[in-house]
Amino acid sequence: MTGLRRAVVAAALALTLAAVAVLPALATRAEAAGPFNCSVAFQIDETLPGGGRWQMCWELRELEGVVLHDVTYTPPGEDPVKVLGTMNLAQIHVPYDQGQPRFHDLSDFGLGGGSLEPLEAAECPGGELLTDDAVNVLCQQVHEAGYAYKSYDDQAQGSTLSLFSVSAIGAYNYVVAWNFDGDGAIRPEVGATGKLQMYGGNRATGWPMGGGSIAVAHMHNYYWRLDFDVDGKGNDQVQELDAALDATRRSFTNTRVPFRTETARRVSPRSMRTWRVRDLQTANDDGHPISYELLPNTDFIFRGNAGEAFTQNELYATRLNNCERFASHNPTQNGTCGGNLAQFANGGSLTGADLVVWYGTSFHHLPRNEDEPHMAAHWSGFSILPRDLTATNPIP
Amino acid sequence: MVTAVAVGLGLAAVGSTLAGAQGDDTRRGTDSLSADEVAAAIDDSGAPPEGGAEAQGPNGLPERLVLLVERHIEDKDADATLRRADVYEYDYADDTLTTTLIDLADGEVDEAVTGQGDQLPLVEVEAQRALELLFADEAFAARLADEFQAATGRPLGDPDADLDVQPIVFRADAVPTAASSAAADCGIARCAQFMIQTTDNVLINLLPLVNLSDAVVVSIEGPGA
Repeated sequence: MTGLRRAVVAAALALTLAAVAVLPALATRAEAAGPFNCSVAFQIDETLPGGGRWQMCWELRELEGVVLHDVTYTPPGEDPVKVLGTMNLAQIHVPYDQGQPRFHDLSDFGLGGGSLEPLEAAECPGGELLTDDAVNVLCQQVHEAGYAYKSYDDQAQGSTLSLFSVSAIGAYNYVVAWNFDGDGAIRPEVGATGKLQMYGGNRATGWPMGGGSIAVAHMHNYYWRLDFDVDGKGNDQVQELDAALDATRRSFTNTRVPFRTETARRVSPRSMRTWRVRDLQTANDDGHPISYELLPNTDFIFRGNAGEAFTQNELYATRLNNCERFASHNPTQNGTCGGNLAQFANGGSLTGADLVVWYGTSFHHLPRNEDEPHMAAHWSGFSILPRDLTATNPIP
Repeated sequence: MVTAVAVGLGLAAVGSTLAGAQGDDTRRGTDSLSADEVAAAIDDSGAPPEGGAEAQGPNGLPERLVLLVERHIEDKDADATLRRADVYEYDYADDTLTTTLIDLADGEVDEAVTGQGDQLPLVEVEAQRALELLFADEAFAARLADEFQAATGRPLGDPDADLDVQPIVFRADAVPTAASSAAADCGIARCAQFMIQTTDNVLINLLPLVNLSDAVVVSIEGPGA
């Protein structure tokens, strides 16, 4: 039994660390050029097999962990397009089903500093370890991703630039990952693994485990801060896209509603809700405004108590304010800055503003017996897809 | 005493002998702060050096304590050569946090803001003090012994050998019932909560709270669900 468990854990870890086969060679790191506002050691520049180039800078911060800056995508044969000024996790909120504890891991413990788990070469097969002050912080890999498309005799294989770091908080290890596809899609995700943190209580708040114990169920509410700069800062607009089923329940009406002021919105799977950030000046070769669309993940939804106002919505669109950094427990700097997302989205005009989109998604971890002794990683993430960035599929 | 695992401010390299930033290693733009930059920022802020002979407060902690140093987030059109750091220093005399913005090029203080209610992660000396206060509490020690026996079927021996305890900063606003409990001051005061497990990975079902500002144990069970 123990051997079987070990095999399962090993297989799960292998899946975690190398979701698919890793391509043998990585492109050579480019010298300082392009959109980089960082030195060579903090630059990432990857042209994927089959086309599509991703460039960005990375930074390790004590609380946020890894932060990505100036994320830029170049479709094959086209000019580079800035997508995001900054992208990072902005909170991991972990309330337990018993009501306490209720952790705010990112702000109250920090994903960088002493929480960062230095990576070993074996954890980054086929990839490159990126270091800061001689600590292996990030693993950079290129994965095969299967079909980019398939149409009878025409087919192309896709590939993905994958970056991840690991932060240990309590008994948990968070694998904070960023996936950049050759076709311009971005898929941020977090894998929760490690060991179960807390036992006790009863079946109403947990799950029976080995030796008669009960492991306490809990939420992981992940929030990302996405400072979109589609083709540069300014001239961006957030739109909400819905598809409303009409009274006959046979046809839909698709709507696109722009946000004029700072806004907090909920997911709505029933109306197929997504959001996009479009540039108001730049169009693709068909004359359509270029944009990036956020596809939410609605596997689980958490809306907490009155003291957790930031959990009442999943998407927030705000004006960029450098002091607004964490979804909750944000430093208020003597009352000069908001303390959480609900206070950030306070009606300011978005017209002409540099926009920040905040997105949260949840995972309710009802423990399984397979979570002992080591939990297989459970991944929570979402997608940011190009919408009309190019006039046709960028993959030839 | 019990080990404090991975507290914030992983600034072990402060004042280290790492090679200084030079040549191609010069940091710019959004690069992470180097250990040398962190050390310089602390020095320029006027904060006491880590491990220095700073005055101890009545709570058994240095009265002034650097909690965090991070690269200041600059405006997007700032020049890539601009390197500034925010130094966060806690003052236990009045439970305030001062954020000092340092220009690393010349060591000048560009701005300093002092306020209450922001609680950054615990640093090592605070984690150790929190553990010291907790394990000196007789009521806690008795409950811990009971819980350890119940969880493992054996008596608690040496806590150093038997337990891993992780202190984490605590704010009362995180748990609704805390507002009406002895932990209500946590958030203005600086407090620690604890995750306790045995060294063979059995979790102990206690969530004690320590008020570091007042040097007291305020709860053994936690603030309540």
